Parts: sequence; C-alpha cells; structure tokens
Amino acid sequence: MSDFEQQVRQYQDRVFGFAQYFMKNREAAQDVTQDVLIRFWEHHEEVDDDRTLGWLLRVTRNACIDALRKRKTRRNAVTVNTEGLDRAQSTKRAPDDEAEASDFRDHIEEALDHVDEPYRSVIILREIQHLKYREISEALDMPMNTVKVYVHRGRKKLRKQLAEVIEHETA
Amino acid sequence: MDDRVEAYVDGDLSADERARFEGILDEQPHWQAQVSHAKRIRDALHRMPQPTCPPQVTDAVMSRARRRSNGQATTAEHWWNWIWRELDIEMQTGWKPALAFATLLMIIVTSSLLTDPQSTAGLLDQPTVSQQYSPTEIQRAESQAKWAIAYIAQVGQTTGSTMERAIFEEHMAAPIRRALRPLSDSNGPTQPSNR
Repeated sequence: MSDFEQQVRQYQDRVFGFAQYFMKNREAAQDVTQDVLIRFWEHHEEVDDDRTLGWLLRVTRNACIDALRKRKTRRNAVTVNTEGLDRAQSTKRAPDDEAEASDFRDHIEEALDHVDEPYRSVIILREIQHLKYREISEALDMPMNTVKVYVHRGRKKLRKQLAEVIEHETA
Repeated sequence: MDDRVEAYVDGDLSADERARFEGILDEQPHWQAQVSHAKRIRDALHRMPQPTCPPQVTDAVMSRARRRSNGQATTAEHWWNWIWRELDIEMQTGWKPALAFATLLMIIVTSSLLTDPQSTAGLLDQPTVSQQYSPTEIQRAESQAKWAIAYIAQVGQTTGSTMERAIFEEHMAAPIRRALRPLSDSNGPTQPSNR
C-alpha cells in the first residue's frame, strides 16, 4: 500500500493537470483523476516503474475522451450549454497587473479546447506539462518524431485560432 | 513557410533551412508577425499554471484502495463463514459427530499440507492410528468423514463460483481423500448409503 501511495503522490498532479487542461472543468478532472488512480491501484503491480507515467497518462487521456463524449451526449439531450458555467468554475481572475497575461491564458485555454486530437494532448503534455518526447511517445503510443511534428502542428493550430485575438491586442 | 514557423521558433530547422527562412523574414513583415505570434503562444503555454491535485482526491483514492484491499481479504473469510453458518443451520443432530470428525481431520490434513506436504500421505497410516483404533472404529469414522465431505462439497457447490469449488476441491476435499486412501486400502471400500 505504501508503494502505491508513494506513486499516487508522485504522479497525481500530472494526471490531474492533464485532465483539467483537457476537460477544462475542475470537478470533471477530479472525477477522472480518482477513476484513473483507482484503476492504477488495480493494475499497479503489472506496470513497470519506469513506464508508470506513460501508463497513467494513456489511461487518463482515454478517460477524458470518454468523459467528454458522455458529457456532450448529456448536453445534447438537455440542450443546455454549460460551457459558460464550466469556465466560470475553472477560471480564477488574477490581480490587475497580471490581468493581461491571465486573459491571454484564458484565450489559449479556449483555443486549446478547439484543437483536435491528438494535437491537444501533445500540446498539453509537451508545452504545458513539459514532458520529455520519450514520455509523450510512450503515453500516446506514437514515434518520437511524430510527437515533434504534432507539437509544431498543434501550436500552428493554436496560432490560427488566436490570430484574431493577437492582432486585436496589437492593433 | 507556414509549416516551418514553429520549427524555426524551437530552433529545429537545419542551418540551410534556417538561413532560407530568415532571408524571407527579412523581406516579408507578415512572416515576422507570425513568428512573433508563435513565440508569444509558446511562451504563454510554458508559463501556464500547473494544477495541483486536490487532497480530497488523494484521500478518496487511498480510502477506496484500502477498502478494496480489505474487501479482497474478507472474500475468502466470507465464503468460509457462509459454509459454517449453513452447516450449523442445516446439519442434522445425528451428523454432528461426523462433522466434528471431518473438521478435525481437515484441520490436521490441511495444516500438515501447509507445513510439510511430503508428510501428508503417510500421516494416517502411522502405526499409532491402527494401534489406537479398531478396524470397525476406523471404518465407521471413515464412513462418517466421507459423508461430511460429501455434504460440505454440496454446500461448496451451492455457493456458486467455479473458482470456489476449485479451491474447495484442491485444498479440502482432495487432501482428505488422499489422507483416507491408506485406510480405505487396508479396510476395503466403504460407500456411504443414500440418505
């Protein structure tokens, strides 16, 4: 149990951070994190220590995709868009001196939400969570060169999404 | 050109590509702006906050893991408790001595199996057994024990899973059968009569 607890404490922020950026919803990210770590409890003896992070992130990504799919289905069923509520919960306004940077972060989060997979995952893992290419390659089960290409493509997609915002700011 | 902006910002272009790219940058402000945008996005991404997992999530995970861990340990207990409870309720008064004998036998055989499996085969055919009991007593005890085993086996089968029956067969019924074999060989087969 203590080994497991140690691993949970080592990786929980990675799992939660990925889930929060992927889902843009703190409560949903908590649920996913809990489910993933419980699943890890069931399998932790089968997972090699040096592959634990890759295993956790792969399971987290799949859990996020499933959860988003279910959430989308529910939203369609009740025809209520709760995206605004989600953002209100997940966005904390910073003091005035950081307001501009915070606003731009909000724009990035919003733009990231419109980036399709696997680019979104690659961007989160590489650019936000600063994982090594090898770790991302393991987590997403793709060659390292492909990860590098996807990082650039993903950021290009963000650049297109944010073009209007940036031009508006600089005008 | 557009595909190379991010690679240029990350310094991933070869020397030739970089020189060519910078030649175009010098002449076209549009690409200068794109490089500037790309840098700003990359820098902002790198400075995004790192969320911390709330402690209640960790607590919930550890608590569930502990519960499941304890639950696994009590599954076996639960099965055996169920058998004994069933035996206690359904066992007819006349069979209780047989059950007591079978239980004693099972404890002896199982514990000897766990401690020294090699010694089990000869456990009951040691001289002390045949010296202490008459052939009739041994035959009667064997018959009672077989009935008890048959009853317990039936209870085990009604508990459901194949796994549990397999555990019962491997750890209880088979060792007792093996232990009784020397007695059967010396006294001849004794079949329990139908109830």
